[in-house]
Amino acid sequence: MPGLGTSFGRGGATTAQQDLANADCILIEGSSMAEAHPVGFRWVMKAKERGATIIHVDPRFSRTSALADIWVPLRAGTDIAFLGGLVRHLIENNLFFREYVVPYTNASCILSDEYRDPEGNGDGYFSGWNEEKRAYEGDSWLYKGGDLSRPERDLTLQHPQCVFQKLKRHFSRYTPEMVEKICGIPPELFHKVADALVAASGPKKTAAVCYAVGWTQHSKGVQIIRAAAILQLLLGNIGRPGGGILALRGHASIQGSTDIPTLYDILPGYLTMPHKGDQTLQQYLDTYTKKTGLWSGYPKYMVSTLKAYYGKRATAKNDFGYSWLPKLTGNHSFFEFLYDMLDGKMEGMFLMGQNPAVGAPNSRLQRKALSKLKWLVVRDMVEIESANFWRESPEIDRGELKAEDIETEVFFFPAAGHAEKEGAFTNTQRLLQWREKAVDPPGDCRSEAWFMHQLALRLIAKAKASDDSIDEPLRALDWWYPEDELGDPKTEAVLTEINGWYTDPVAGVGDSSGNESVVFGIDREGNPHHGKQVNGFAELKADGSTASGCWIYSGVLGRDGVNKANSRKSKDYLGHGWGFAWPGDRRIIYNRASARPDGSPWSERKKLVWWDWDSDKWTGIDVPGFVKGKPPDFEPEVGAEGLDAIPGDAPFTLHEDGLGWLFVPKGLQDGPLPTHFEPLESPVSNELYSHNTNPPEHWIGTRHRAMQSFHLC
Amino acid sequence: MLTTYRLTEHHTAGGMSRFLSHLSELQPEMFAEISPELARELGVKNGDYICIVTLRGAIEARALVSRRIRPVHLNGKTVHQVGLPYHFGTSGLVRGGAANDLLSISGEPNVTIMEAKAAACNIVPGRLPRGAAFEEWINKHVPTGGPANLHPEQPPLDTAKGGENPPGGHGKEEKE
Repeated sequence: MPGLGTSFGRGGATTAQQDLANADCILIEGSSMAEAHPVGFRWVMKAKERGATIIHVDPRFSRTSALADIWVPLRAGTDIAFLGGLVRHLIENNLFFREYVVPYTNASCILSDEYRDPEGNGDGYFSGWNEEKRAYEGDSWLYKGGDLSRPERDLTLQHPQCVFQKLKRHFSRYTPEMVEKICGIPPELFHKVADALVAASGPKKTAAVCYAVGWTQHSKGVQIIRAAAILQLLLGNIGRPGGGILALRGHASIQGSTDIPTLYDILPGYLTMPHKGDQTLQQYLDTYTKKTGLWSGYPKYMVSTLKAYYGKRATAKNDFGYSWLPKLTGNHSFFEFLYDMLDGKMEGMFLMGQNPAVGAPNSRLQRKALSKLKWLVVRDMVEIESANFWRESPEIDRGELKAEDIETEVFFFPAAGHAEKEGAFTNTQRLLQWREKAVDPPGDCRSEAWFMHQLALRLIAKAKASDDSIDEPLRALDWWYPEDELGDPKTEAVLTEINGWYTDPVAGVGDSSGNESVVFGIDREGNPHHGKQVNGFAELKADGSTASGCWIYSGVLGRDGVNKANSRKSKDYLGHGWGFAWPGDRRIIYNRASARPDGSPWSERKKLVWWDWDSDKWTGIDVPGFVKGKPPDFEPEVGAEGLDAIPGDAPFTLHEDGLGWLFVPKGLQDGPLPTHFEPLESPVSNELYSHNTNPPEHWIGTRHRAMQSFHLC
Repeated sequence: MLTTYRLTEHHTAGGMSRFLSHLSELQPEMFAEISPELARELGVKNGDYICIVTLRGAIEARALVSRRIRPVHLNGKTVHQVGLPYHFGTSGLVRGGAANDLLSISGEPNVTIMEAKAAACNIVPGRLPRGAAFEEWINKHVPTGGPANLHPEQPPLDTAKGGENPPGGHGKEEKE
């Protein structure tokens, strides 16, 4: 989620679906929300009933378009040109929300003199391009002086090196006429959209943007989302009711599976997976801890994660078990190991909740890769194509592959359905919702938790029987989870670990019936395992006295012993009391921006969180996303660190400077600003640059690219 | 250009929907949504079989001729668009070509995601030949003509079939 993450600080939807009802305009692009997210779409219809303008931008007229006020057909893959056109329109015609943009975004920040944009001589390339590595070195994208914490600013936005002037120049050629040439959208229709968005911007109005994989699955997907982030920041729509960007996730708990990741390069809570060079915990922490903002707490989150993994075996003396974590040696994404399978470098695979034989790109190559494995474990509810590819596939059908030649041994494990297991889903709006089991799964069907737990128990037992040092990380795991009668780990015990606790065990504490501040306090051997739960990530420590399996979820099962993901009593329109939204049950994040710099609401109509001068704290309808007692006029001292370095009028507290990033000085591989490139395989040439496609796009290796051809694979 | 999308009645790669009778009955078959303009050019009627071809391979589908999808006109050039649901496969109660057979593996620079929503393709009326005839057929119909839109790292794709017109033009000229 680097599109949202680099723009605002967190890789999650900024708002809740219920809040769409408060929007004055909703732009849906890269999604057919009415068809793919019909439950949430009711809030779009609610907004429409209240008079909001609904815009659907999509190559295809769907049910979403039918219910929209404006349908904008565009050529697939040209979203940046369209959104860039809107950005240019706002800037050139002075239609952006200046009172919001100047204090809350980095528009005024002065960039390094080394920065060059892709216009003019750049011809599609930013400064820092390394042709040999086919990658950017991003140092020239930093603020002047290189310090992201205290940027030099020009609040008049006139300085030639300020972000605003660079943004203006970057999009200067994205005129309505250019939009027509690239996207096929007539200027009249373009202006209709622009006018609707501008009419819904300002102190009394807001507009929301909804997108789904129609934006992400592109060779420049992150930059499309970035373009929307720039648009929403210029219109002053982030952190405010009826505003925001709603990332509509592809399926159940996709948000959850990036928060507690199934990705190779991050640890729970968006901590970075250590790389080969990050030898010691100190080196690692020095690299990834930021001096100012919420990420200054990195050591607390990381050490608490290690304590959750390794329990009492993680000590200050052994770097809290840091050496047991695997270290990345390269790109280990799904596509990379697909090629390892084809090359015979990977012998076996566990496949759960995925069907690459028809569900992953170049499926014919996927099936060929599966046929090279020695063994394959598939867990699913039915015998999917990835389990029977060896006897039923287009390749078998046309004699290209023969079942008798395929040596892959497939182990098929029947999986429990969603009503047959308990646990939490984290949905599109960062909301954890608990689900109880309705019935036991039939026959040998089991939950994923059961499978992973039982597999772990067996692997750990094998590791304990060995004295090979390679098994040390397995031996070190704190696998303490109590079981139910089917052999499933108790999932609320897992949730308790995710929430986090004080590590010092409290004697004599049993199940939730015991001391209410300690639940599931007994391990598998019957010994006291941990102390009372923490109430939120603010309590986490870097000295090993706390553990948390995913710091951003902290607070979901706090000292009151209540599983808040399982709460079902909504108290307000944002749904507080129903489930638990990370972070800290905040439904609209960065909500300091819902108040003016002086702390008063932008308008009565759009009030959400404000500064209460009587009690000297932030208050409102949502949980304030700001240090509670920090006044709006707070000025940090020179040299201040952590959250103390964030001024009282800087809403984006995960960024070192507390600002929304129109321009991303650090964190992206393909440029600080979105730039239009054609899809990798396009019948059209790039109208803007002599270079057709996104320069650092990764074809996963030369030989592999050749294998994309039917004839060569 | 093809784009892919989801149907309300099916779920991702179909494991949770193509094996259920009531959902399968609601969306029983793979189809490709094309505009009346493209249908006219191809001589195809609503419900006819067409094949969709890219460098990776080919699938067949029923043509859904509809004004819901439209050609775009860019500077005097017409680009047709083809909409493909991506839920089908070879198992289950309802079966059909997998749109993913057509898509390339590529890695967006930040998150290594593939490009599934826009790619050039060729459309051929009729059904896909089965058995050994398939290879001859795809040699004939793979998108050709014009310079290949390749990554600069990539050597020219000229080794495929002894000196013949190399595949890889990616439909600079899309029409049959």
